Amino acid sequence: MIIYFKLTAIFMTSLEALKENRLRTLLSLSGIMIGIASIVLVISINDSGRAVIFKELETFGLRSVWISRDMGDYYDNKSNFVRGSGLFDDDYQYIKENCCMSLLNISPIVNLRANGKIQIIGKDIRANVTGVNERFDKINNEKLIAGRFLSIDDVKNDRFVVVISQEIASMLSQAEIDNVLGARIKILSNWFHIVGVLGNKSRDFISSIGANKESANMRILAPYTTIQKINGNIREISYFQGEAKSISHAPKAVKEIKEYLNYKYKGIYKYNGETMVAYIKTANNILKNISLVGFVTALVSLVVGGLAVLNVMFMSVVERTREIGVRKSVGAKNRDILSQFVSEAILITSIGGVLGITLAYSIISTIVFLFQFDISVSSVGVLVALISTVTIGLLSGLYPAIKAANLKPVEALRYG
Amino acid sequence: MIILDNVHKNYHCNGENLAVVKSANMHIKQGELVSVVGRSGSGKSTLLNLIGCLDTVSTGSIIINKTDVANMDGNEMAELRSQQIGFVFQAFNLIARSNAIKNVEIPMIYQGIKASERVRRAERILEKLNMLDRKYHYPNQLSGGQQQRVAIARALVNEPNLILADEPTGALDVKNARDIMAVFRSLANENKTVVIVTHDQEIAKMSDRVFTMIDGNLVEE
Repeated sequence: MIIYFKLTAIFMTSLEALKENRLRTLLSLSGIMIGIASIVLVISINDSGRAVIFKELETFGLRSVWISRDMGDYYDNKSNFVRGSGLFDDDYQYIKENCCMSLLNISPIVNLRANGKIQIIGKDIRANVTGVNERFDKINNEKLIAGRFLSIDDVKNDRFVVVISQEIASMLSQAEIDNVLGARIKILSNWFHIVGVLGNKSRDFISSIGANKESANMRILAPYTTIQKINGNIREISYFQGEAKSISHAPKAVKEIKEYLNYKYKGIYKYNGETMVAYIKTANNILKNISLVGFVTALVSLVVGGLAVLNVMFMSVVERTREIGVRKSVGAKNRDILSQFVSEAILITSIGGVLGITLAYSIISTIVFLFQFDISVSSVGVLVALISTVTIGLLSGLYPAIKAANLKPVEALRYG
Repeated sequence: MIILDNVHKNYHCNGENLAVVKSANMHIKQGELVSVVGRSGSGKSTLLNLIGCLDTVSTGSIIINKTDVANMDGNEMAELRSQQIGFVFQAFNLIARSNAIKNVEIPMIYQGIKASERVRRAERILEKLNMLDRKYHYPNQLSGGQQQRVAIARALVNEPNLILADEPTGALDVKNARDIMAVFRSLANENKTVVIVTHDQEIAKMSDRVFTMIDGNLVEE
């Protein structure tokens, strides 16, 4: 109880001392405020950026693997020129049935030979028409918003059915997405029934840095068997897209498929394998560098703020040397004087910290309101800010406070 | 009761050993009003600081109410100052940003006394010194004599046995100086020991006994 009364009184004294030097308190406080606000902002923007980038990467399926012929190398090991994709239906059957412990799903991808202009009910729309199998929705992380995805029967029987993207659907029917289900579209000279609509995918960031120019939202998916038929009954597959058991299984899945293909074709074709691992790594590296730069900047401003508090505390100790002497002469112990100055420093930094967090909140709210960016205040950021606030308060307050506490009463009283 | 036995104090200053108090012996009974006179630099303030546990002796011993203070550490000395000693300074040493009652409350803060109790006691002591009507005045709104009364109130609020005053009338005119001395006299009558350091012989004459500090040596007149 005695300690409580003492500490409350010391705290009130701190408030009075800070009030006495309003301007100075305000200035050192705003240093901390800006530092804390930038820490919260940097961490929040970084977190939100990471969320956006990974959401976009997920539209490819994070566990995806791609196997294709190495198009840079058209020659076999005897230097003969070799045409073709180097992948065929029987390869698909084999991989599906026998191969690859690390692989969960696999789909052949067959591109329409005459890709480009597609006539849909009198309109010319450029879209990517791709042949896939019934598992592709899982592999490529597709979200169906209407109808159904391609079925195993569609694929077996080379049916003329398609699943279209939301953007194309809205071009066909302004009103209801469901209206397009069952409608027919003409691709080249073939009529297809629309059985499903895929949700839009956001790849704004990825396409803005030029990593993937293909529009994700102008897609038409058909059974790969049907596309092969249109292509002229060629049982060729453009490439494989598979789904590994996990992100870390992806490189192994690639290796397993390539081993099979190399064994089978004995060097006639060379193959390329790709996974998301490299992209995830790149994204992580970029984010790490960005956040490091931001974090260092924020830290610097926080340190500068801390130095301002340190300076103010030192000035305060010097100015109040005589006061310290008086307080000691009436019975203040060293630790009373210590708590006095530490509590002043922590008071300054805490107010600065709370204001800084508030500032960060309002800046982020303003950004969200004005630009509709997808940013939210990171709770980790707030936590880091609060911890650094108290730490800086302690660090910048402790040294001047120790100096004050250790002043000899006689010398302190003689001062000034 | 204060006993000084062969007290010696020297300072190390720029490599030199400076003996400020060479030899001081004193025996003061409870309730006495004692003056120490001497020229400036004679060591009389240092002597007062030693008695008041603001400084430590080099050799010799000081006994305050049967306690030898020579070997006390900082915390013990602070405790003793808090409970048994009240200081009055020439420059009053009031804290400028706090009003009279807040200044009087300070010694009680370090004893951990509750705020309402602090106010009650501070008001009582200010009333005794005829300063209650000015309890919300700040030091710069008070005259020198009034400030010294607030300072004395601060010195008395923890009810110490011993009042130490370093040139308490040095910044006051004759009338105010007399009034302050009257306060000290009444404190002595209440059985508090009062030791005053002064260079003013007139002030010294108002005390029970007068010591003189000459070149670090204390002699009784």
